[in-house]
Amino acid sequence: MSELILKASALTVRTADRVLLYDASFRAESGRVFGIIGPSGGGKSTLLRCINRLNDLVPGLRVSGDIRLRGECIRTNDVNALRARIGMLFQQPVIFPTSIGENVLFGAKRLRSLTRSEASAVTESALREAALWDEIKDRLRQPATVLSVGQQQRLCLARALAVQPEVLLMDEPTSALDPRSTAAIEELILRLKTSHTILIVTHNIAQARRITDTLACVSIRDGVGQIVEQGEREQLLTSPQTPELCEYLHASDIHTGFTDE
Amino acid sequence: MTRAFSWLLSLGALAALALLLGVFAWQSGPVWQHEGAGYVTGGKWFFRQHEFGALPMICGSVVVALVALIMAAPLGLGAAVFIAEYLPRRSRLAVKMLVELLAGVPSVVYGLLGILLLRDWVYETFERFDPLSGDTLLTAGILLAVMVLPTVVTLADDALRAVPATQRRAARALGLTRAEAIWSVCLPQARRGIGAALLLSLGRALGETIAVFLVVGRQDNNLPVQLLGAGQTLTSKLGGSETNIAYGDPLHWGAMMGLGLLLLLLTGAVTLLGSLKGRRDA
Repeated sequence: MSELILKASALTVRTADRVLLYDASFRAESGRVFGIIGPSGGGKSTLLRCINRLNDLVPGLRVSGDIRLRGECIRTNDVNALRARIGMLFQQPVIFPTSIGENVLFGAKRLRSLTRSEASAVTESALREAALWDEIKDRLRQPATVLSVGQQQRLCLARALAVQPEVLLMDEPTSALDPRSTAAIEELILRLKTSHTILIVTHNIAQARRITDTLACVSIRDGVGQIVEQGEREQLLTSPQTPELCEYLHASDIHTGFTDE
Repeated sequence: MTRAFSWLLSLGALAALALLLGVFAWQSGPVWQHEGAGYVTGGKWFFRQHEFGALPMICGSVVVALVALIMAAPLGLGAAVFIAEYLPRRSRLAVKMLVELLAGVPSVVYGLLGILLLRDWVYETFERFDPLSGDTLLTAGILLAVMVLPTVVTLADDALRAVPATQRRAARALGLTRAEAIWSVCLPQARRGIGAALLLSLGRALGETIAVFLVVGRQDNNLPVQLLGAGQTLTSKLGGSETNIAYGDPLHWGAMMGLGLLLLLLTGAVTLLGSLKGRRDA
């Protein structure tokens, strides 16, 4: 049974002179992957970054509207505690220039002090969850920079998982990866969605078809980014209702026609 | 073509440097012959008796510069963290411009301010230690700290800003507070650049002449065993009138040029180390 985890209503993000995202409302449920598709510059990342209040870090960006995580308004709580409940993956894996092991515990060790054995237990379980343990279990002391980009992205995932978040935000997590690493991440998403609520921005319609359950299309309408259409994945992909989504899907078809197979 | 040319120019620069060192080594020849290693280890300098020991001045320079660095480092780093991590972009640029303006104030002006403000303050503050006057090694150290502070701040700020924004964002997204992100992400990654900033500042402090000259007391033959005594540094000795007197006497002149050589080697080594450290960072 899926449960309502995240509910956003009338989300608007603006700078001093421009509206980046207007009146976005959506709901994300547990056990389901919420996909966000749409053209570049439409406001997908901006939307995602409202959820863990990462937009607050950008000077001049004003966010209005309401987001509730399990019914609690995210504005009223401690923002750092909120971010610990919401993990995030970026387009390019961001690893810290320390060892692999240190990277995994980077966020976890500030939440509670870990003894040596607890630390290694957290490290192992996080790396196992990110399907990286077998590849690097003997190399935890090595610098994380020796890993391939695909491994680095899974390391970032392990780092986020070590904090034990309820929600995972992924901002085009596979766009920098080769097909094999992409497949590994997609497989992980399907596995993790039973225990986490996942919101993923993707540029890849095929990927959206493979891993998402619910979809929202964020696109520019009347000069501002907004959610133009949302609903069940199949319904959106097979019978799009809005001209923006039709156009986006069509453009993607042409594009993938050249690159895939 | 371009490559050969740049090699040629690099060699030219290197040759100029070698020439500089060569001239100082050659000119200071007589004193090395006369004193041997005692020139560097000897504590007494009486030029009429032809006795030349540079140790008090070497130590004076090092002590004064270290005092400056010890005071300027925490203050400068704190200011750099504030400017780089807390100030909004626009005020950051304004503050940075002001700080760089401070770095360009002629050192004699700092020296005059030292006499005006610092000398009496040091004397009164440390009166119970019974200093002979306000012209002490400590006074020179504090003054130098003020002088190198802008350099520390602006270079450390550059080092901090060179840490990619993605790193900060990733740290914050993990739930780290801003302070935690600064401690565990920004400062460690800016470490090399900050080290370079400190070394370059140390080099500047070692080479500074006129401001130190005005407040250090210029007392010969005092090993800097206590900071509240008057002292002498390599630069304050060279900046004094003894240099002009020395010119007629090859041995005395050699002794002065020897101080110059030591100063060149000291500042050169520190600056070189600093630039190497900074370079590897980039």
